[in-house]
Amino acid sequence: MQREVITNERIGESYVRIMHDSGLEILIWKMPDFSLKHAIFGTRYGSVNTTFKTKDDADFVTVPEGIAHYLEHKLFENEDTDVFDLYAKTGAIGNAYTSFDKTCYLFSCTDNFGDTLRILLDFVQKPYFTEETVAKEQGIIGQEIKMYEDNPDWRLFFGMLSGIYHKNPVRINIAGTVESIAQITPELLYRCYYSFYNLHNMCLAIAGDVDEDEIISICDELLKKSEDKELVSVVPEEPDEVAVKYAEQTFEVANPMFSYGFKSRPVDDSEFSRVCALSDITISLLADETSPLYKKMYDMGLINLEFATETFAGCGFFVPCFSGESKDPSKVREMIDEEIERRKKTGFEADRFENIKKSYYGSLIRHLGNADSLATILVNSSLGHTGNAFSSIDAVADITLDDVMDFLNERFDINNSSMYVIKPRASADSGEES
Amino acid sequence: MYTINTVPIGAAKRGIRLTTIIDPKFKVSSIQVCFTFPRVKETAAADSLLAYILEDTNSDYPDMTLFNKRLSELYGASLSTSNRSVGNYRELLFSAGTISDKYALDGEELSYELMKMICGCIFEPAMQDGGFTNIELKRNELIDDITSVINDKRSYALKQAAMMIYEGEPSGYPLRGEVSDAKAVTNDDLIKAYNRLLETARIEIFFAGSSVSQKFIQLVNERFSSIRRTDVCSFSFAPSAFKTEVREKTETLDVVQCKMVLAFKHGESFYQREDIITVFAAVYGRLPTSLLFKNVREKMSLCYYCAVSPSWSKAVFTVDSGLEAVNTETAKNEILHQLDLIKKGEFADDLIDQAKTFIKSSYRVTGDSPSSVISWYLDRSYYGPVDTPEEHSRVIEKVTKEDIIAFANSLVLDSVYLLKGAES
Repeated sequence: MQREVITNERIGESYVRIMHDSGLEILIWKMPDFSLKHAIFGTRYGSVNTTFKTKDDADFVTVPEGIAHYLEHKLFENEDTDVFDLYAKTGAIGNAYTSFDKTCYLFSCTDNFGDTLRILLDFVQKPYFTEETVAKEQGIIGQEIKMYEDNPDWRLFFGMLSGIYHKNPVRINIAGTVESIAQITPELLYRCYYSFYNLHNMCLAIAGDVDEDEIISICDELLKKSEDKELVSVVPEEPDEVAVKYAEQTFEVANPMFSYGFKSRPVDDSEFSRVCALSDITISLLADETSPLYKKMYDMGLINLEFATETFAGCGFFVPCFSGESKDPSKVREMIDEEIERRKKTGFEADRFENIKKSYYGSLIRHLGNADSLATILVNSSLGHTGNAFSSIDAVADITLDDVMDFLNERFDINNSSMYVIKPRASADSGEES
Repeated sequence: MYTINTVPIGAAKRGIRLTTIIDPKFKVSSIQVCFTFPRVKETAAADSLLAYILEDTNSDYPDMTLFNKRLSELYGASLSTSNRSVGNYRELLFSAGTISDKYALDGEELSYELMKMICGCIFEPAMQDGGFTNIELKRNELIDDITSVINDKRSYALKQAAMMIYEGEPSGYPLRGEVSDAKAVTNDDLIKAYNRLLETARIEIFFAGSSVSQKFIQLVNERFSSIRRTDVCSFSFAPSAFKTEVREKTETLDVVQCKMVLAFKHGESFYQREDIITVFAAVYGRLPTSLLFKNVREKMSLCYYCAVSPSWSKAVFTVDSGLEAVNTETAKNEILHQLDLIKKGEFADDLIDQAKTFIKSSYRVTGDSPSSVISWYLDRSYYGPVDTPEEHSRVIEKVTKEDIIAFANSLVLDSVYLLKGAES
């Protein structure tokens, strides 16, 4: 077992990193005097990992869309008991989520931390799938899928991603479709489980007023030493150009909604924190509430307070994007494009750049008093291979305006962008997607 | 552990208080200024629009861009207003937050500077020629917010259900009014609403952080003690009235999934039975081990969520769910059946113990963050003795199975609302 303390002098905080003999990376952020304790047991397995092989497999296998999320649901059901019943006995609240590139099982508690950690480590390492239990889940997940289909923000986001990407599975709903989950069998679930739920591919992140020795002792007892299976997951090769530049649909919404993204090359793990910070700073300089562009569009009544910017990035995808509501989304696109081209020539104001860096620093400090935020930062840094949990703070401090301009010139190609629009039913021309 | 101190600003009858909550472990500071006053149908839109107008400008920063630039300088501080319903009353809430002064890189007094901005919004709003500036843009924002409730089908269903549940009561009219109300608001209406707010609303000011400066307290005292006050609002929370028969309504929209809302009324104030109702809610539907989760979702696979929520100020209990049209009757019957089982005492004692453990744990966590500890004391400022989460945990411990059975038997089904898709 290897142990190291990772410290950031800038904010005076530190956490412990342990490489356990089982192959699992364990990260612990101690928070004296806080009541809440939060633990996340995560794996590098998300909705994009639909084609993969291990060293034991002769060839790659492709599994149905939504299977990572399905597996997350089913893992809560053990052969002899329901995990929620076990959590309830310790007073913990358990949950789980599946994203594009990871699946995480988590709990929060104030007391009985050790007993609850035992439950978490035990059930995640103990899969139990039968024809009957797998079939039963289709009703619940089917309703979860339909709930998201009624969510226009969700439709908008995946509409935009479908415009950006030709083949990358990130364009597909994380939970899959009613049709794709109907193909899931216990055998497929076991195959996915044994490929991705290998401790070498996982991380345990804990934040709170916890006892490190107790954690290690429980891990020694419960973690099943695993062999590194040399897992390889691939995504289809993606053309550089966007799939379509514009698409729309009609739906039951009050105002037209838009999402406008720029196709940008994915980033290596080592660069991830820095490039995400660069992207956030650049889109803030372009269009946050302190920007001339925002004021102009707001004063024209072209956008409302729903306007937002985001860097959507992960393993194999990178899309800086703008979204909001507007009576004229095409005009918004035109103005964003004009501003990008103008800024490429004129640059940005130094005082706004410094303020945005300050804001970014402030947003990172805000996580410090929050056990679930810190555990999430830890697990993301591990599963995303982004160095350490302080990478963003250090990256922001070192970014210069020249870096921002390089980023803007390299990654904001207005000819390689895609807009998706949802129009209200009443004012729409047709009810079909184009 | 935090220390809490509440002082009146001026005479107690003026209805203005400052509460400071200090815990050295806090990494951020949170400020809330809450104006509470009666909910009136005729002024719903003007009262709401005022919150939009006061939110992001003041005489020091008369332009939204300058205002946001200043927040950016304060390490990305947040400052927003919101309209909230508290039964027959409404809140206009200023919420602000930034990092603790100890993290400021150049020794800035961030909390004090942020409070100065809030005071500017409240006492020196951006005005021109005797009227508020930007009324038309803010009116559009309000209208967008009124109409965009349709975007979130679950919220839409709950809002439509509320119109039926609270018919004839102040809560039965939309908090922000209708679009026609918003269009009709004049500058005079806004000035009246503004003066009424300052003169009559109860004002609770909260600060929570790792430390508070004398300068901050002095600023609050100076600014809030100078307001002219008349007819200060006092509270009386009347439970929502029983209907003579269960009201049912079905609405059709272009939705993929049906939304169903069931409302039950109790007839007596929830505030006096808070401990029992909190445990009941956990047993019935709040926890993953609750009866609704275990049966309606897990056993019968009818839905992804089946959520319970009490309206404390109106003594109403709602259950809402998203499901297939073909399953709505089955789900409704099962939701009622599980309530019947509680009424008959046919549920495991373990459920009560689990509920109490969960509730006590959630109370303990309250002290971990400035915003959650403020929420606790703001909520409790409306009724009864102000007890701490720890004191409340001891009360929860005393709730018995008989208490829960008695409460379940007091609930009367009031309304059933269904939102379904055109094809279903």
